[in-house]
Amino acid sequence: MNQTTWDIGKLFTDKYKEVTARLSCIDLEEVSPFEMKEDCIFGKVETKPNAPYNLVLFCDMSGELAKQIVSRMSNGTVNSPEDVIIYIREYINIASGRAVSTINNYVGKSARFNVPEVQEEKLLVEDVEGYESYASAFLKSEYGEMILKVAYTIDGSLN
Amino acid sequence: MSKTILVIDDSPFITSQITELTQEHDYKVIGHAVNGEEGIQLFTEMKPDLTILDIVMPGIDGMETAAVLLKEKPNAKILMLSSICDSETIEEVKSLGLKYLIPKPIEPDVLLATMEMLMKNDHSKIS
Repeated sequence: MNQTTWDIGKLFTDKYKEVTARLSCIDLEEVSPFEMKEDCIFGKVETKPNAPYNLVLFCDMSGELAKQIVSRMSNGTVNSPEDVIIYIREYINIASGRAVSTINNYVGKSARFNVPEVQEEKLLVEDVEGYESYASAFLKSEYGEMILKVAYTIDGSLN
Repeated sequence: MSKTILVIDDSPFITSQITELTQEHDYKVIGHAVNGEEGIQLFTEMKPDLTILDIVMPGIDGMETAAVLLKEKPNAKILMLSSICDSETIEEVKSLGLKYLIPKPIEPDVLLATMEMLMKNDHSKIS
């Protein structure tokens, strides 16, 4: 695999846009970098310790966007803060899984990840030390914003 | 009489989606487990016609859970579900002797058609 020609950041961005549209009919578009405002939901998903490559993704989204995604996923039946967290966990699981599946097929080895962590308080440290590469994407919809940050070490020689 | 389904998935969204999709097609979700350990217990107690099992869960994952269920009932009808559906994962599902792995997000037609194939197939395991 030639990493210079394969954009992991774009892969995650495309999969998140695709899954968001599919699950909630909300369109995300890429915009210039911005700072998240208050009232956010913070998500993290990382590959298991014994995975053939290492990757961590942080997905921060505005509270309103999270509520809208969940409302549409649940046909309007889910709206409590606790249940929004549970549904966003599955949303991140699905979107990240689609991207990881593509990477797995490319490197020829299957990495799995832990159940995503999702919470209203900012994750203590967005620890990306020790990873070789980083990418980020800033996305906006009519309901709010999302920032994706992915750090990864994928050995091309696995191929 | 409706065919019974046990869903083993930590996501209430998935259980809700499966319940809604299948209830009009002569299926009934009789149980929902949020992890493998609970799923094994409910499988033993409820003896469902069909089990839909997620791979990524807290605790033991779906592959380990499927292995336990198949040890208890070698001809159990199990449909695996996952957001990760790469070639190696598909091969791992096959190595358990299972035939079907459905990707998330679930396509209603794919789920229903696969369930029908599984229910009709007397040999749900690969020979």
